Amino acid sequence: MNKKNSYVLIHVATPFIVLAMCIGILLIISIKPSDKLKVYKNLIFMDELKLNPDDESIGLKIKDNKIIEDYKGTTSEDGEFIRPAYGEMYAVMKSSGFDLSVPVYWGSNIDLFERGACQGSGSVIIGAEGNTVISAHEDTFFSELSKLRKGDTVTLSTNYGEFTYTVRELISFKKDNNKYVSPSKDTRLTLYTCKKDILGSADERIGVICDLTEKKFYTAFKEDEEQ
Amino acid sequence: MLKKIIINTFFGAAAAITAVIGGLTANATTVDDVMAEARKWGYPESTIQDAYNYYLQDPDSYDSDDFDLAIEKLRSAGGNLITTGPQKTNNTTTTTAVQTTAAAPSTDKNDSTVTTTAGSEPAPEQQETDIITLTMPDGSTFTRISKKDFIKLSYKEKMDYISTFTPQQQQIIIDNLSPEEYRSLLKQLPSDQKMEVIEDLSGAVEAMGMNLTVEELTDDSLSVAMRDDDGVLIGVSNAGSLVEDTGYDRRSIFAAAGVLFFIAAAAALIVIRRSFRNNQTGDNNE
Repeated sequence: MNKKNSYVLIHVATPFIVLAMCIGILLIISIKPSDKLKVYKNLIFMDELKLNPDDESIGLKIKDNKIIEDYKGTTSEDGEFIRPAYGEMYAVMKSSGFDLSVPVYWGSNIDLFERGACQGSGSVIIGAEGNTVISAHEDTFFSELSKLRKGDTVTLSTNYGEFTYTVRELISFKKDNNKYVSPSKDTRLTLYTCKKDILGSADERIGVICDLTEKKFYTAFKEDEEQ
Repeated sequence: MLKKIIINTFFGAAAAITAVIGGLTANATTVDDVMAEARKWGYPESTIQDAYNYYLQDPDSYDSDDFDLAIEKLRSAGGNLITTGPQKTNNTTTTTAVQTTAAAPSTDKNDSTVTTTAGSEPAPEQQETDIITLTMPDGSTFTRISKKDFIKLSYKEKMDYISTFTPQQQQIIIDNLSPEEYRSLLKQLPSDQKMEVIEDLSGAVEAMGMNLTVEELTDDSLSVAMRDDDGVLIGVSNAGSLVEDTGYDRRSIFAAAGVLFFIAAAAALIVIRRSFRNNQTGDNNE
């Protein structure tokens, strides 16, 4: 009888253990941002019943604006910028090289990176003279950035205008190299993300440098404001 | 490697200036004046741009007093980078990096009437091309090493070198340091002094109803956050590496998966061994 029981134990328990093992691995791998593990850990151990934001997110006010993407009014080459506040979504990015529509936030922060692409406040606002630097996670919003090629266009719609950039150069650089993300005298758009790496912490960045080829400031918006 | 880390390290005030320039600006003087002052002290362009962006959000809310205060605080913080001190005659300034030029002014320093040719040992070509001649208030001159050689020195070597001059000469040298030389000082400043400079600058920010907090300070990175009185995050300035972390770090996930795998494998092994043992016992009983 004992022998029979043990056979049953082997044949029933082992597949379940292996199955549980595989499910466990798949589940853990499927949780992309490791930060979320902290939340689950807190829930499991009842440490805190709410999200525990990192220090850098304390006081962060995220504002999701509705961005004008179907403007039909008149436009001009010159106009006024609407300056965003830190944590404010102020643009939507589209490209001929990929199908994604990416929200762009002013400022860079772990929470903002979860919501879209981020523009460091040390670079110039979209459409302005200088270097506009935008980055996003490689496995979410910029997962298709590597598909961009020379000549592809990147369009950034804001509530003050629409700006079209054309890819001039594909770049690759190390994390400690500030060359491409520093202010520049020429007007350009720099987009970058991590090079794909199974461990997810690659030191290498890939991206593109684009030239501003079309500026369309919304004049109707300005008139409305004046009225 | 160390040099690389130093190069990639800005110091606290460089980030704090974001708050100062951003929070203060004026009319009599202009924003450009404040930015020029910041450049003079060697603050990086990205930080200056950061501050300028913040100013542009509401330029009308600043007046000339704010500008003046900003410039004053920048000078005050800059003054903390390097100060005059008693002259040290027995120094160890000469280093391998600037072996020939560092010795150049050594014989000049005690003589307020020296000329550019008063150096003792330097190579003739360096005397002609590298040495910088400075003029004292009384019209006399003295020499110091070139900008390039000064930048090459470590922080301690810089301090040792400056201390070989009389206090009056030290002041002249400090007053005439180039932005590049100040930038090299900013990068090399020890952490405790970085904090002092940040505190100095944050005083001005607090006066404007804002709070400055150092979020991260390591050898090669610094992050300073600015919040208003209500605690709302107004801006974050990163110094050092400006490149964002745009990948999820999955190393801990893989480590956890690995641990889980071994636990499961160990459990399976125990079950198999136990059942095998039971089989043997059963066979023996039979």
